[in-house]
Amino acid sequence: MEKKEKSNNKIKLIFSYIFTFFLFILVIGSTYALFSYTKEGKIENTISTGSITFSYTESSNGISLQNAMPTSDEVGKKLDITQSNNSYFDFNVSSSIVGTNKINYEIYAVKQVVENEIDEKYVKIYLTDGLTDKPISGYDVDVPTYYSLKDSLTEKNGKTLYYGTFNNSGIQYFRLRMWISDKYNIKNVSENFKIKINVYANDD
Amino acid sequence: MMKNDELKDEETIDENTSKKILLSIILITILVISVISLSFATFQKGNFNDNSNSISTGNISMNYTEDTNGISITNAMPTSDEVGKSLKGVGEYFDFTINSTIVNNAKLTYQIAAVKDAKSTVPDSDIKIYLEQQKSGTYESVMDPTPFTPISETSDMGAPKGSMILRTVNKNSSGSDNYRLRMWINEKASPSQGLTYTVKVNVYGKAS
Repeated sequence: MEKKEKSNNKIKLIFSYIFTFFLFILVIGSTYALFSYTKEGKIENTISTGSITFSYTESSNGISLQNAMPTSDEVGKKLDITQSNNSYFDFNVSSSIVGTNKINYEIYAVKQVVENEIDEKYVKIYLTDGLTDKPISGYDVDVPTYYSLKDSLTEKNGKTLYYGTFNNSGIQYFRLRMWISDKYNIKNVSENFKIKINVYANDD
Repeated sequence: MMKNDELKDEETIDENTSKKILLSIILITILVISVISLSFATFQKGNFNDNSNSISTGNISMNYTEDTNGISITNAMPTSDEVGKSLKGVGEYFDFTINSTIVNNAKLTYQIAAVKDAKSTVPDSDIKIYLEQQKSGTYESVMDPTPFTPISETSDMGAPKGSMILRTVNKNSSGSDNYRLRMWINEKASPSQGLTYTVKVNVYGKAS
């Protein structure tokens, strides 16, 4: 009987410990849930990638001068298209960019192989704004010769016609004229000069 | 006789022990019920996003508001950090505010997390996230431009796995914290065309 009583008390003690333990856990859990806040944003923040759109469009046939004669700069600057000659070459470059990125671009010329090439020191190059026909920077004081143009940053054998920058989307029109310097002495054989225009761009 | 007395003594001791155990259990139960009641009252107050002016039993309340339309940049290009940090056009930054009301020496911790939309296709490493906080009228950096860095597990505060923790703040006084978020394409990235990246900003708070 005594043993049974003691045993019962022991059991009660054990149960009380277990119960207290669970209560303890419950208190901790309740205390842990004291304050909790969650707010999920509703507004979406989105960026989507595009590309630098850069195009070079040739608006007219290339320059074609037949039986060209040495020409003064004053006359050369005003060369126009006639029935027999295409005296200038129109093209444009355009870009589509967003933000404050910019695109640097270089318009450069590469000489093409021809027979009886005219010395490039006597070939005048004249670049103007395609809309206003006003000379671009670098052509507004003296008209350079192909020889005097700076070497291209892009093409080993090329010559830089113009180096520009787009700070945002836009389009730039150009008109190129070419003539033989009035300092050139005509020879008794037909001579030629031919260039190809290219554009290179990179974002910076 | 002696034996009977001893037995009686033992019985009394056992009875006393039982009573003590019972009394302890009752006291602990009362204590627990009191704690639960107080917790429940405070929990109720803390979890509602209301503008009530009366606080009867709560010590902490929080409110997160999105102040501007979100960032919306299309045809995004790789951008330097110098440029990205100063983007200020419409749709180029996102403002939000976290208000905390704390009384009676309570303490609060909140965590700001950027949660990425599952449909995002730009790689995380191609995205830079930048956070500023308004201090004395001007915005100052509180997180340098950082590639989106997802956490590997749900945070202690509740920010989900895969989100990016922007900032964790301990507060012991009431106040409004104004933040400005910016996001741009990492200048070293070369993402393909037509990809998107979308995040939402979540806020999590707990008493600390």
